[in-house]
Amino acid sequence: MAYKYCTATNWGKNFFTHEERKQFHLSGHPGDVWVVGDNLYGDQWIGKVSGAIKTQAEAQAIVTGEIEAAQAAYDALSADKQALQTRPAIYNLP
Amino acid sequence: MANLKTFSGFPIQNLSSDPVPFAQAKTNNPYVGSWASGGNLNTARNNIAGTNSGTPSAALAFGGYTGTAQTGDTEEYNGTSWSEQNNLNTARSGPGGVGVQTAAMAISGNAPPMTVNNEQYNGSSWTEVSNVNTARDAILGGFGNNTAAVIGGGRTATPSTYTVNTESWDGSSWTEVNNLNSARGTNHSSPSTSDGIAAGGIVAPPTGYNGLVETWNGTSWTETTDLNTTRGTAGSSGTSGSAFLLFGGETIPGSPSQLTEEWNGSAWTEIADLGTPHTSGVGGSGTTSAALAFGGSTTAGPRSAATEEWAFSGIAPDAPAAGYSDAIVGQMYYNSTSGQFKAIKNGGAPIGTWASGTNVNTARRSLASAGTQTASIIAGGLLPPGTHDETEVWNGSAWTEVADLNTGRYYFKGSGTSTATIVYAGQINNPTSSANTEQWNGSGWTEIADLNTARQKIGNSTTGTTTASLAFGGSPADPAGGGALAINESWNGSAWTEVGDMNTARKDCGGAGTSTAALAIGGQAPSDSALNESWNGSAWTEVGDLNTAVFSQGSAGTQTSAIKFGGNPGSPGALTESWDGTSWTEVADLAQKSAAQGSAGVSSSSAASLAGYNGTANIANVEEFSADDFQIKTLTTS
Repeated sequence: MAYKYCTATNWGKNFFTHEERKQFHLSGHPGDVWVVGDNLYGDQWIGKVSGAIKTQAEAQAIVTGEIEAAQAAYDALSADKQALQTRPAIYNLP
Repeated sequence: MANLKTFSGFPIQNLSSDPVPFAQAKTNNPYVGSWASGGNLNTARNNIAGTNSGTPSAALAFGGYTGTAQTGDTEEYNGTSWSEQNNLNTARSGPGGVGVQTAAMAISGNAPPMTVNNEQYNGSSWTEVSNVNTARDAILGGFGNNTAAVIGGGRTATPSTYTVNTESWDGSSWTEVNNLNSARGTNHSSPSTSDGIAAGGIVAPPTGYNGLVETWNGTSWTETTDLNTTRGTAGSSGTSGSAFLLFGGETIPGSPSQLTEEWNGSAWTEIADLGTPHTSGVGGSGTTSAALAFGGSTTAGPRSAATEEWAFSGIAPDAPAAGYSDAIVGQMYYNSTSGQFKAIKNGGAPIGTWASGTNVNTARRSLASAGTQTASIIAGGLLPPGTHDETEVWNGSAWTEVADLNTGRYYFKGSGTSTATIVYAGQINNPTSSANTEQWNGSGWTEIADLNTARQKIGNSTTGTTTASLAFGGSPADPAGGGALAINESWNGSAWTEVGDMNTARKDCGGAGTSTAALAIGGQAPSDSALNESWNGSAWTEVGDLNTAVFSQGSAGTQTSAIKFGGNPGSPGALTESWDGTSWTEVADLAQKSAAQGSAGVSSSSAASLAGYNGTANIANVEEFSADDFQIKTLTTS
């Protein structure tokens, strides 16, 4: 499946609808990064949310940067505070 | 069949619009009660009485005060108008009333003075029968019928001497039985002498009115949840101690009310108002779904002849989806408006999707939650290293910050509605667990009885109530000694009781269902688990596993129609699985990964994921899962 990548801030209600979820792939990631199915409906959604188009590498860099920042914040916590959560792990966008 | 097109030799139905899925139809046409005006009484009066088992199409009104004198006037209602009948032998105001239109009883009342006189109506005339022991008025209803009845409370002397006295009628004489706990004139209406409720009351000044409620089991009175709004001299209808409607009355002396409250056996809910205020002894008849309000005063002065009819309209909650719509899976039709051929395909949870909802005000994770997709509540949560105590309520269009928890915490659970909730367990001071339970009444939190075992990361009956909930599994402390527990406790509205343990000790598991029919979904045992156990009110049974082991996920629904979403292990996930009572099926993912979120929802077709943690930060995002009972596909040639 082909994807497009963009950044957009989820404002809440109607940011994405049930109908849109049926029409194209959509997944959100740290840094307001969205992976969007590459079809007509996906393009329309990017326009609707005023998404800023990114390449996959650019999107990955944003996500990785967010996770690294979260890892640093986690590492700075005391052991008992760290026990409240798992250390964020870097992953690859599809 | 009219309006057909021919398609490859077969007739194709021609529709001007697409069939509407059942869920949408229910949204478009919700099942709600409302008051509508009925025919006026011939004689305006207050302190009037009616029969407890009357209906909006066959009711009886008798007695009352016209503003100048007590009256014995009797009228029958046929669903449209009132007709005059033979009067009571003894004119009186504020008598008790039981029975039906053709077999009624007028009990005691103020003649004046207070009379012990008791009369029975046979559909055409009144006959005197054995007297009550204690004369009184302001009886405001009664339990039973002509051959077996109970009255409780009332006023024994003017201006304001009220009694706890309760009497029972066996068809030939009255006997004193166990008293009310609080002296007052109180609305009580039920066809049963062993299952009723008395709500609100008029008492001596300066208090004037109260919101006390007591249930009657045939032997004694027991105090239960107060009314939302204190009042007296109201009208009422009901069929048992768990189905009762209270309408009108006065909330402040001289201030008639239009408020209507419904009792379902565990909570009072404010529902549609009367069209006009009725007070000072408004008559009431019927059930919680079909009732009549008549007479009383519409202001502090004049007596009223007005009648209002309570009825429900819309699609009933128990209406079967099958047959509601003309949509037939597999059917093909031509939409003459859009000019498209369409086909109807299967619906249900497998075709459900997540859509973004309105974000909560405060991002958080490991919070407690309760309610439905359209009316929910969230409380507390974790914002490392801090603890939230904020509470927010969702009314279907906006999240509103309301009163904080008494004790901020996280890793806890809730059950109930957006206006009546309990939350329990959790972690207050890392790593110590809490047994604390708090109850939300729509405006504030009150600490109530603790769990027997302090725990955190429990699972619970997500569709439980403030009087029936289940807390299972969890951990005694986290992380030190953070093993998993199999403990299970049941809440009955006043105390937690240990009941049957889970088969496999788990923490951070999801839950669904009620205190007597629940699911324990996934969790850590202590390794990540796909286990699923079903609770029948006395024991747990292992049922179909999840496809993917998970913990700290969202979950909602019932024992036979549930959904789990997101959760760990590793980084939070977006996986969603749907339970049909037999097995789990993977359905549409959340758009955004989330774990430790709040949950709301009633089934595998209607749920919400509330806030949570996306792997790098707490989020305020909400997603709503909905699935129609069928889907419509447009036919194309490509």
